[in-house]
Amino acid sequence: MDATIALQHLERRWLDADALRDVAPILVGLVPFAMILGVTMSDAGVHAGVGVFGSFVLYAGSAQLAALALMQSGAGLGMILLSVVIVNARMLLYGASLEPRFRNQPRWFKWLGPHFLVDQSYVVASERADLQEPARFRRYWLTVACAITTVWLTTIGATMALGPVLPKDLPLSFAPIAVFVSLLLPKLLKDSRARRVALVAAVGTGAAAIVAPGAALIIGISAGIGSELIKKGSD
Amino acid sequence: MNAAIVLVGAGLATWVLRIGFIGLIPARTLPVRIRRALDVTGPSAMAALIVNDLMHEASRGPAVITGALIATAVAALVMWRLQNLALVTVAGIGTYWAASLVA
Repeated sequence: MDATIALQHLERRWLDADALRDVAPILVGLVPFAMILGVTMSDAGVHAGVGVFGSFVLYAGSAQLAALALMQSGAGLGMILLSVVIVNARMLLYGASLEPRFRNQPRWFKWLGPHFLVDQSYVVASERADLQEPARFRRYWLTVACAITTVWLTTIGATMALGPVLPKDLPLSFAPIAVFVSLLLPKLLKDSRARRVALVAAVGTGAAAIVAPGAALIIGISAGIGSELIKKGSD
Repeated sequence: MNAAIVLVGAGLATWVLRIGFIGLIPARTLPVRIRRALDVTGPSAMAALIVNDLMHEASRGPAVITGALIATAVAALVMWRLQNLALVTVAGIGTYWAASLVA
């Protein structure tokens, strides 16, 4: 009984139940990605402490993999940072899209909250229309950030420690695709505008992946948004 | 090169991107047309992420991408008919795993 009351109190004070419900399936998809990163860092001889700390500071798996690959090939710091900026350029668009939610927030949250902006947190937060109230958005965002950070860093740390004993071919690499399909499909079924921009973004990403794999995501997303800009201009 | 320096530098660069249109040049200062177009960032990003991940699967060989495409179709079908996110994940991973055993 006491434990139930304590949990309800904790939820009322700190955690957002909607955020936990929204992010839970996405966490499944994060695990294999974190494992890949953990194994890559182990193979590169990165100390587990540095790996976990660096993963928190960078907080972007694809860019971290790109940075590690370039570091191992002997590239300079400038080249590595340029590559990271290209891979993470989509964060600019995510930030612009979520700016109204950060607008009336306390200064600490406005500057530190965006650190937790990743594909997963952007997707769940942008899908909810009931986060206009600043305190509600803050609680929602911090709950999502807390859940993602816990799973992300715990998995990376555990993989770096247990790397050699893990099976190489776990079938989990499909999990992120399943999650994104489940989030995108309802939009496609009810919104012709979403169908159009998704098609353009998909074709753009596919084409860009052939000629510039590192920049495929930002090119594809920009193509989708650009098509909306052109459509609005011609209306 | 020291991994810690690389990761901290990369983290700082990424943080600047993250706060770019929130704290440095707030998106509300952008032209209205652009702000309205940003409404479709969600579907654009999700479609791009799916295709990007599928292209990554394709780089692992024809059998892997075939399995991934079948699993994507199954995931979409389960979402369309049952609208259950957890079931979509289980069905998608299960199909992908089964396809990898057959290949």
